[in-house]
This record gives sequence, C-alpha cells and structure tokens, in this order.
Amino acid sequence: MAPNTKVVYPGQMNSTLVIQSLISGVMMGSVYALLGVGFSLTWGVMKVINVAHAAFGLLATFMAYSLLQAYGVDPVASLAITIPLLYFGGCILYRTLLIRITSAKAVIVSSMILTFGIAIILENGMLLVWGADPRLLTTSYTSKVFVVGPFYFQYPPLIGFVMSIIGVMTIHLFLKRTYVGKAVRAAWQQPEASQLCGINLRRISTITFGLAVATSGAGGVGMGLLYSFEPHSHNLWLIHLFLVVIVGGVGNVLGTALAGLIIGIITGLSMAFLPYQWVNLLTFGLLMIILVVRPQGLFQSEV
Amino acid sequence: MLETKNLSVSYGKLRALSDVSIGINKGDFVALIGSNGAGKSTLINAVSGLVSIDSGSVVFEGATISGMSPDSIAAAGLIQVPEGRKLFARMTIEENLQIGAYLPAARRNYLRNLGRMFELFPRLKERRRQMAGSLSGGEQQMLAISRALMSEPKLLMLDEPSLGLAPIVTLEIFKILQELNGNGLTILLVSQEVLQSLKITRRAYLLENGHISLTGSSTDLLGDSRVKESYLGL
Repeated sequence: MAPNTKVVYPGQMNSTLVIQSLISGVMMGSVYALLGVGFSLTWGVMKVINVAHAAFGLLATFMAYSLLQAYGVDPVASLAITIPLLYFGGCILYRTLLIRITSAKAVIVSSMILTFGIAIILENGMLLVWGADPRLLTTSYTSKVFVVGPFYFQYPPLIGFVMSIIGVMTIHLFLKRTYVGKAVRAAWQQPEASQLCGINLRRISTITFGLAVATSGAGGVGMGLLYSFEPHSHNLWLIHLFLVVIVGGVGNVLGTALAGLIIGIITGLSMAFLPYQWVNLLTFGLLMIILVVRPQGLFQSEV
Repeated sequence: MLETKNLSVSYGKLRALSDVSIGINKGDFVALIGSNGAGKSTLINAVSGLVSIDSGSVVFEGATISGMSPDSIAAAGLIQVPEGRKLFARMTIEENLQIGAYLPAARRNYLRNLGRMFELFPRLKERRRQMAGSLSGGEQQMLAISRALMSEPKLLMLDEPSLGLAPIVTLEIFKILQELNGNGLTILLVSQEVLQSLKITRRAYLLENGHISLTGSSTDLLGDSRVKESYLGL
C-alpha cells in the first residue's frame, strides 16, 4: 500500500464522512420540515389533524411530474400552478366538510377520521390517473453535483433545502408580521375575544386551512426531488410528519423546522454508521422518549 | 341607541334571562348590577351575539342586530370588553392593540388612536413590546379596555372590569371610564362593585335571577332600601 493513501473502511469514523452525512441529513430534514409546517399549523391552532396533508403534497408531486413530462416544466416552477390550486382546494374542503366538525367536542378525532377518508380518495384518485408505478422527478440537474472541498452537494436536495427555508420563513413571517397572520394567531389564542374585535372566525379558519394545504405542495415537490414516489408514498411521509411535528411542538412553525433538521441529522448520521434497518428504530425511539419526557414537544406553540 | 326587547336566553333547560328589556341612550353611562349568576354576563353576551337568544330582540341604532354574528355586531360599533379580559396573551401589547383595530374603519385611524391609548395609559407605552400575558392584572385590564377602544366603539360594554383587581386599581379604572363618558362615549358597565358603579354611573338596572327587578337613576338605586340591604351591606 502506498504510504499516502488512506483506506476508509465501511463504518469507520471519518470526519469527512460525518460532515457529509450531516449535510445530507440537514437537507433531508429540511424537506420534512417544509412538509410539516402546514400540518403543524392546522393541528396546533385549529385542532385539526389533517391526515390527508401528505396526500395533498403528493398530489402536487404528481402534478409536477406530469408537467415535467408533458411540457418540461421545472418541478419548482410547477408550484406556481399547484400552490394556488391546493390553496383553493383547502379552502373549499374547509367550507364544505371541515366546518361541519369544528363544533364537535372531539375535533381532533373527528378531523382525523374525516381527513383519513379524504386521503383515501386522493390516493385512489392518484392511482387511477398515474398508476401504481414508482416515479422520479428527473430534471436536467438531477445528477448534478456541486463540490466544495471534500464535500459534495447534490442539486435536488440543495434545491429542496432552499425551498424549505423560503417556505418556512414565509409562513413564519406571515404569522408574525402581516395583519391577517396576526389575526390568525389572535383567533386561535382567544376565539371569542377575537370575534369581539371584529374578526370573522370562519374566514380566518378558511385562510389558515387553505394556507396549510398550500404549503404541502412545496413539501411534496421537495420530497419528489429526493425520493421516488407512488400513490401510497404519502402514508410513509405522514409518519415522518407526525415525528417532526410532535418533536417540534404542534403549532410552532420554527420548532417544526428545527425538529425537521434535528431528525434529518439523526437519520443522516445513523444511516452512515448503522445498518439501514436500525435507522427508523432510532428515530422513532426518539419520538417515544419525547412523548414520555416532553409531550408538548421541544418547543412551545408560537401561535 | 341600544334596546333589548323582552330578551330571553336559556342554557339547555336552565333559563338565564326572562323578558329583559333595557334601553341605553347616546352618551349614557349605565350600570348593570346584580349578584353572581344573576345573568349580567349572559345579557351582554346575548347583545354581542356570543350567546343565542330564545326570544325577543336587540336593536342597535334602529337596526335589529339579534341573530347577527359577533364580528358583524362589533363592526356595527357595539364593542365588549369581556370578563376575565381575554387578552391575546402570547402577543405583544402593540399586537393586541392592532387586533383591536382590526375593523377597516378603525384600521385607518390606527396610529392616531394608538397615540391616544398611550396617553391614557402611559404604562402600556413603556411595555408595548412585552407579551400581554406578562402584565399585571391592572395593566391587563387597561390593555383590554384600550383594545376595545381601538375599534372606535359607539357603545362600550364592560363585563366586570374590576374583577380580581386591588381597590386602588379599580378606582383608577373607574375614573378612566368616567373620563371616557365625559368625552361622549356611551358606556354600559356590568359590575359586582355595586357601590362604586352606582357612584360613577347615571342610570342603573338591577338584575336578579334573570329579571330586571329595579331600574332608575343611580342615585335613586343607591338610596333604595333593598339595594342597601342586599348589595351594599348597609
């Protein structure tokens, strides 16, 4: 063996490998965060657990796929069409179906049952239109890499990462800085008092739900840039959403984002050093520990 | 300006208000007194549209408002300061005042009104960036009143503004209400502080078991032997 060559054995500690795993973990986690913020928002503020959230995201992924195949539209650009569509879809869904359960005593449970039904309809709709084959969002930059020193950044996760930062910050700033965003926070902190200030609760609920569903589109495209997908993929995504939102604290946008990053880092690192089948055990073991030790999540609701 | 006509409200089978008729004129300062559970909060919540009514009606400035949603009633200029203040605790003082000015007409005058509130309650100005939940009880009540005033009310209804406050703070709040009325604001004050409320208001209604049992000028009620015995402990 030449004296200057280092042999890296699989599983051996190596700082480049650690940092590389950190990078891919952060990118992966950021996309979970993006998919999770809307889920966290409806759960935290409206007490609606939208089980169909990931299915809506997946719908946007499939639409991006079709637009890419048929017209060569970049998946990120396709969001210009899918985000408004999902927003209005979410608003209509709220006005027609969800509004009927908002006065129920157990909104959380009723909303899960209702949106589970919607998820099934969406899933089968996608199955009907796109079939059961796994798809990939293959763009001109899919296999492109950006190299910095010994580290490499793949383009698709990098784009997902940037999209996540923009998406999460947009929702965060919307809630903190805009008048309507403040009204959303007020309405969910004190529903009665907010009405006494002239806030129309139905309008605010519709906007909140529409926005949450709209963000799932960006998250779905982010997921599609990272992984292959088929009409059932949203179930797997959903499990990760629960993980991210519970760890981050329901209703906390930045907490959800941070939780996404933490989980991404843990997943990334464990993928580098553990056999693959142990990765989920580790992340979901973490979920169980958090549920026992800190059931309100790591961060408090900011809404 | 405001009139309830034979208003009846019940919670399930329990009747909370029966045939309550009250009237408030422009510029009036009216007290609604009575013991705990007499139906005072129910009455103003029915007026605000938070509680649905069985029969009767509420007329505000010539228009029937009973059956309208709470936000439309607020938009008509009928603003309530709710019992327990119900502030947006995880929002700053300034944000609470912004939500107070949510109605389009009020939003246009936001800066002018904000200046007035800070003049009225200088302590709120010092703490404008603090969370509302971090304020003391008295300051919270001041914020609740300011939030309501930010909506530019035609008629301000206050539900137990002195609840849980030290006597000196109560006096301060009542003095401000007197000042506001002096500047032309119509006020309906709901309070268990019978003596204090009758001292500062012009007219009063006594609510007992969901009925109006006595009405007249506040000075008359102060002199009434029943009021003296049951509510003033004299």
